[in-house]
Amino acid sequence: MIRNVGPAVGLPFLVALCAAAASLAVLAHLAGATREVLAFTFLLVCPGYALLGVWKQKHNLQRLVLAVAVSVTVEAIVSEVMVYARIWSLDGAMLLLAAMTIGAASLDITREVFSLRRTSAETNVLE
Amino acid sequence: MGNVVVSHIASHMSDYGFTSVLPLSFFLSVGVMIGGYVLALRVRPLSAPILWAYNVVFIVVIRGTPQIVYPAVRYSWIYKHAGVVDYIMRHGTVDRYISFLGIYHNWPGFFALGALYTEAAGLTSALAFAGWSPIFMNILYTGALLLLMRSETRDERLPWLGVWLFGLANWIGQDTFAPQALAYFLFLCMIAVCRRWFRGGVPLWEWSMVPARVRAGRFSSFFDRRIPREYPPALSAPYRVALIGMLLGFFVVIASSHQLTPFLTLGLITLLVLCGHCSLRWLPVVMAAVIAIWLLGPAFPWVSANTHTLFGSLLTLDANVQGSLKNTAVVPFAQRVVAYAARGSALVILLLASAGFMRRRHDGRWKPAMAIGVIAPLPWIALTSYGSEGIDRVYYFALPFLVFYAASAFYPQIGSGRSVRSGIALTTITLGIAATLLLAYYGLDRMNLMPRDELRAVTYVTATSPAGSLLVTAASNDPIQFHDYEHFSYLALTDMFYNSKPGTYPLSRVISVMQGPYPSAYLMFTTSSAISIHLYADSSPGLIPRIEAEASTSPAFRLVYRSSHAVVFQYQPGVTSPPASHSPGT
Repeated sequence: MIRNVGPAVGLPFLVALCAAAASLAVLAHLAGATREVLAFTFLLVCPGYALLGVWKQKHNLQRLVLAVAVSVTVEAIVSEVMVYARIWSLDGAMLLLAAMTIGAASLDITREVFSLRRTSAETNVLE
Repeated sequence: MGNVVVSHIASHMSDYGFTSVLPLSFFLSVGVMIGGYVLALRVRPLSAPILWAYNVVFIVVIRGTPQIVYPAVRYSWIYKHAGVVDYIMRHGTVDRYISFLGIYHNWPGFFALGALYTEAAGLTSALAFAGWSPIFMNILYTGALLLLMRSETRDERLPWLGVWLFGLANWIGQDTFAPQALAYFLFLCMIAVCRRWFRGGVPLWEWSMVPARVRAGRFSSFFDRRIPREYPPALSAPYRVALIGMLLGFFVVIASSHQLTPFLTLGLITLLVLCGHCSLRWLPVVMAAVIAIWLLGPAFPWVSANTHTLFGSLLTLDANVQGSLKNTAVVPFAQRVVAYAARGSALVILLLASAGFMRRRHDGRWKPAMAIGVIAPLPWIALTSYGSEGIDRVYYFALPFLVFYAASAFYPQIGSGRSVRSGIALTTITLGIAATLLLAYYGLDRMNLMPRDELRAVTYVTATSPAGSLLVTAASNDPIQFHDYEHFSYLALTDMFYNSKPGTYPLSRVISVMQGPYPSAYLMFTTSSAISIHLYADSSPGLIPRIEAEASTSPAFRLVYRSSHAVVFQYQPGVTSPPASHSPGT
């Protein structure tokens, strides 16, 4: 399915999957390299990548660099709020970030699917 | 096998640092990479994957080799940063009034982020990944710089050469697990976003305001009316709001993570707005408000207690410059070479940038926005010494713009610089800069290499001593404070004896401090501290070995830990005077 609709949908889907897997790994107290890889991949790239998708940022380098910048920005702000409000919670932070990521990625996927259908319909009309 | 390699490196490393133990094959590989990169820049069309691969491999080789070879994380201050992350992980908050490392608790953005990453990965300490930060941060800098430079030129070779020169000239060592590394990346992103999507605007100051006599003179081409006015790209409202939100988010994190970067960012963006190179005219005002709110709010405990630190070096240009430059008259000869290598690297980049600027000066191609980037950090030399790092930081913040012009020296316009002679010149010059990089970047590694023995000694002390104990170290270059750091008080002998005469029996002064209201007190001597004192010529010659010798024979101290790189004495309360047999001056 992912191959059929292309990277426009496949990448947001992977981002959402990574968010779900990383937060599950944290909530299930998984230990070892799997959790490390999932957590770092998710935290470094996914929230920013998903948010930039909503914003339709398509240039690869631009999107990747800004994805990391936006990810660390969102995470730093969430962490600081928790630190100052004395409500530090890893589970809470991960759930919040994962929800934000999955929400943004879903929006991106939905929009891409509708856009693909519309393009396909237009192509049929032209044919 | 690993231990053999490490002990070989530690014992053979000279005052020239890591460079002194690197094999010939390392230098050859760097040379091959430089030659290969110059060739890759000549291929038409340019292959971005190949150029990326060169950059990543070069970063891994230069920034990653110490992490791969050294027994523990490089740089003593990373352990302090890991200690603050550890504090947040245990307490879930910060203590803005804490006695030690209080500055980090007042700008906790980076550390809160570090705690999130460490906990999310299921790790017990940020030290598990902190050593890899230079690789990661430099890859991010490369991406952000490409973004920035691509907004200034259509010649694809120029940004790629610019990032290569940045990697070669970045010997500052601020790319580690540190707030400034994160803030610097966000600074680059902010400038890139401003220049890419918010370029142009109505200038409050125009080049035409320069007196006609000056404009008509020798430098007329700089003030040429043909300098194209910049216009921001058309953005839809949601797109614009998202970009502005991004900029503000970046700046909030910068302002809450680091002390200097917000001011340097504000200075640059203000100048860009004033000169019509950033259309967000309100942005400097909002940025200034964010800084003020942070200083008068969350960071106020530290600010109010450290006004002298903040303003003591204001407008003391001479002292700031002298303080930032290593005093080559007193340090070992090898360190003089290292210091001159760093200055030489900066000088070559400055000369290349000047040449590039001159070659671009016609037809408005001199890119005023990038020139502003070079100029904007300069006033900070007069404004602050920044703990004797002022000039280094100013150079670091000007570097992204300097390398743009330095690259322009080779590629002043599209299609130029394709001759063999130009290629040879580029290879030769970059090889020269690489030589200075290896000396300057690795030059202090005798003290930056942290033997595992020292970590074990610190762990022993923290595990066996009661909370509230005092830990006296020889200098401030030990891998201390990386866990449970708030349970101790800290003092460095080099600070205690700074600018004061040690007296005939310096240990008595140390004892008088250790008699304070501490449940236990320790005196620790490590190899890395001894080396830092040697390299920086940090105290009276022989003072620290003398105190160590006196402690080893004094009944007031009991040896509790000894290894090849660390010695720890515990103070025995009740014994206050030196042994009767001790003769003054020994």
